Amino acid sequence: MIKIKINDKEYSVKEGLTVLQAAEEVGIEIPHFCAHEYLKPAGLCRMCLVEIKGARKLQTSCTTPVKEGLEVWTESEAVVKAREEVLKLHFANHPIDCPECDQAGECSLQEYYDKYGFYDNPYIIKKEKREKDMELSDNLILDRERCILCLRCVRFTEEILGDKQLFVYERGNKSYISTYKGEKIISDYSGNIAEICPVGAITDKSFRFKIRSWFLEKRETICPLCSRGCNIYIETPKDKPYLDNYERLIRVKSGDNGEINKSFICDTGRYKLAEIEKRRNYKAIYEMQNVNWVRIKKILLEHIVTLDTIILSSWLSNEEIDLALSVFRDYLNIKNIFYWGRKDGEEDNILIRKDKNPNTTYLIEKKVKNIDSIDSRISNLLVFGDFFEDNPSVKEMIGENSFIMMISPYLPRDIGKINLLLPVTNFLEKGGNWTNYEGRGQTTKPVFNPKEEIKTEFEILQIIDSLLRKE
Amino acid sequence: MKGFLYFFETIKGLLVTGKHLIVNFFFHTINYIFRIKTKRRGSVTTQYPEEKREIPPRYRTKHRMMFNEEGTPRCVGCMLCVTVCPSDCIFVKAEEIEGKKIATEFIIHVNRCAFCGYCVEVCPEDAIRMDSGKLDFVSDSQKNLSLNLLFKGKK
Amino acid sequence: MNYTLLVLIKIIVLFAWLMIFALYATLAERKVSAVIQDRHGANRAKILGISSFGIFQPFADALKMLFKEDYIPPFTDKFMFKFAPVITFFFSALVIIAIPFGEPVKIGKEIIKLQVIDPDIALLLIFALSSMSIYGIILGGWSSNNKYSFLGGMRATSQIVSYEVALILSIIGLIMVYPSLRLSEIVNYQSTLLWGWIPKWGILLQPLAFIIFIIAAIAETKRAPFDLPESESEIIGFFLEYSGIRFGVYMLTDFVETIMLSLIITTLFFGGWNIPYLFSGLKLSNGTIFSGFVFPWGKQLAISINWVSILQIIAFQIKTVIVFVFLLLVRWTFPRLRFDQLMELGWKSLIPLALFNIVVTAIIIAIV
Repeated sequence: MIKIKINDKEYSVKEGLTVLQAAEEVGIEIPHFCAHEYLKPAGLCRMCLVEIKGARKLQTSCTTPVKEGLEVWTESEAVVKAREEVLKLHFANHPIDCPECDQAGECSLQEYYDKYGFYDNPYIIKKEKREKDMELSDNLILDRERCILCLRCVRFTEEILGDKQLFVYERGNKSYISTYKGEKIISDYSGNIAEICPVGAITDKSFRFKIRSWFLEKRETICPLCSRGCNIYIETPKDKPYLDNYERLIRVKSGDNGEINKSFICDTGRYKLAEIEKRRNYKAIYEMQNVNWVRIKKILLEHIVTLDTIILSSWLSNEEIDLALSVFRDYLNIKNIFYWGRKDGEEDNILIRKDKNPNTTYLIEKKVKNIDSIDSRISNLLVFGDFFEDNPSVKEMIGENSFIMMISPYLPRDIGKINLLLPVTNFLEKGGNWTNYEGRGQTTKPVFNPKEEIKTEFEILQIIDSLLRKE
Repeated sequence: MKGFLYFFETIKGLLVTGKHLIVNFFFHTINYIFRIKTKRRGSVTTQYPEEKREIPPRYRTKHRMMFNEEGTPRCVGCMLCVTVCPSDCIFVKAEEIEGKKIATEFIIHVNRCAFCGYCVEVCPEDAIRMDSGKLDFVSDSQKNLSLNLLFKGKK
Repeated sequence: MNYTLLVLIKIIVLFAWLMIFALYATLAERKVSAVIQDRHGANRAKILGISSFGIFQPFADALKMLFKEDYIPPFTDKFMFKFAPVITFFFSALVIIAIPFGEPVKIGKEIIKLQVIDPDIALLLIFALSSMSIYGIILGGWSSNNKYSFLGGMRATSQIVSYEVALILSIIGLIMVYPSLRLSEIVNYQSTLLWGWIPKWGILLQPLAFIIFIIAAIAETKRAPFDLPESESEIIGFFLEYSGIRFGVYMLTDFVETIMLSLIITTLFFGGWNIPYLFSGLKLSNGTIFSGFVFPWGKQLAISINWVSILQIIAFQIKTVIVFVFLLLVRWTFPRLRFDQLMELGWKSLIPLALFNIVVTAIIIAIV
């Protein structure tokens, strides 16, 4: 720890930080465009200029490391004047088309102009005309007029992805961002480029002209689509459904967790998460007919005691797995307890994991067998989740005249074989603890309320538990 | 004594109203029966549907949408009016047409509108104005009171 | 001519006259109030696109009243509830039979009096009849079985009982001056001249009685500023539970009473059908019978006897209308009295003044 002075106040901060990071740590905000927590400092945008004792000129705080006895002024007259001048230069070619820009509301330029700008336009020359809607990739759109050349996107492809797909072409006033020969970016992480862009230069195609960002509310959760458990934000309309189709999952943004995913997520989590909202089922079905809970309890009581196989889902939370094991393994002494989940997929060394389920690690920890090790025929089955298509071998093991109970938030593909189907909340509608591939536990809260009154898996297990104990 | 005071004051009151009666009746007669226009009309009210009061230039009246030279609406669907509207009466839908964001639906529920004029003030494209001079939107159903501003016809 | 037939014809003509007057009285009230308040008043009712300053408004109002739902609340006394407005209207309208509309006219050989009946006690009869109408009001308020209606009815009763005293006492001065209680004779007496140039109109002979009479009579008709029994702005009123045409009858009665009041005032105080200095059948000193104007300064203007009758009838109508408009003016000028002020005015001011008027009149009669 070293001692520095910011705005005539003494703070002790960690060694090895830049002035910008140190100030952020003690709660002083310095405006910046190019500096990013997980990218190397570049000192390009000149917005983070601060006054440092002993330095002849103003220094960029994002490149200046802290040292013992450093004295910094972040709001002095010279600094505020410099910020205004830097903003004037940034706005020199900016089209100021905020009304139709998707970044409006979360745009750094807007924010800083509000704080440090409010000047009259000093330039008499016309602004540069450039390409307004260029397809950068299948899901990104580049607006070269809005670009302020902070090069976050270029540095992201270089440092995080390591494939250098973006470059700066030309020089000075004419410089612009492009891929080689204008080809499309091919990457599993391209969505992050739109997110790290501090202005509206690179925007997301799936969010284009959909809804204004200030109508959205951020809710924190983790991504369940692989065993890494990236932290994400889910954005949903604040109080009114402004969209026609009453979508509640408008977009996914990455959360910030330096130990798991830094502040990046893969495109699968960003664009495919909405699929867990589809094919939902809200009705309990017994022999193809709707049933109420009085009837369901009778059916459960009749068939629970004759169960011989339980298949747990690796989308269950730690608590649910614990309760299920205590009911079925300890109380009913059922030997055949397996787990299943989505089948394995691709893997890379950045974020994406091979295991596509959020909680397999905990099941292995509790010594639950994988579904592949099933060897005896199934007659009476209780199954969590619907992964028959990912595990085709299970179907062959089910015998004739068997009774199958399924607890799933989704409508199964072949419902004819299911005798009793109970609806439950999906991942975003329930909370719980989740263990990722390296054994790290994370807690989530429900993001949405269920549209209709349905129970969670935990509540259903509690009901089964109380039914058994009453008997 | 008090009674006498009251008595004279009542007479005075009768004279005041009587003067109004006779003077106004005279002007009504020559104005509306003999059709002689005088400066004094004998009444302070206006006969609304036939004679209308002059609307001041900055008076806030029925909304109207401004259109570009090509005939497309100026509204780009920035939703600032929706955000600022205190009575929550504006509904805008915008779509991408030839790379530009253009409003495809702009509905104002007039019977919810408070005529505060915030939407006019906030509009960055000067797309909505409240200077049409129309004040009489009477209808027998709620449906007719939701104005579709993008409709360029008579309504 | 058959006497009964004549009376029937007279009644029909008078009733038609009364109804038309009452209908247009409603328009007059609205127009007068509008003009006083610098407005236009009702002018929207149109027939074939012609509105003519609201001439059709009364018919529109009447139609509206007729087609409204005739709702009788379930908690009322049904028979009395239906009967009460009729009583009020009947007795209010009945007063008109004793009013002389003009000098008796000669058609052929018959001499026809322009009034339905001409009893000796006409003056007492009209006041007796007009005070009977209070029964309709109190019954209407009472049978509504609503405390506010009942309260309105009670207010009406106490008000009318109080002002009846002042009304009759103010009349006594007139009775002392006039030779008879027969209304036609009273009008005849008012046609004569005092000292050769002043018409002996009631207002000139009994000015104090006139003031007391007009105040008490407005209170009798329950119009503003004495409209406490109706009090439209409070909820208390004897016709609170009435709706539709029954309410319309009460409304109409209000105007009928006002018309009756203006007829009585015209007859008693403004010389009835008399036009000053216009005589019919005057025997001149040279023995000829003369009809026409005889001015105090000796000038004579001969007019045929038929024209004299017509002029007198028109004069009576004009006088009535002027008095009626004056009553409307009073109604639209003064604010409503409080109930204690009302009682104070009646008992502490008007009755002592009326008594004082009787004494003064008696002294003057004794001296002269």
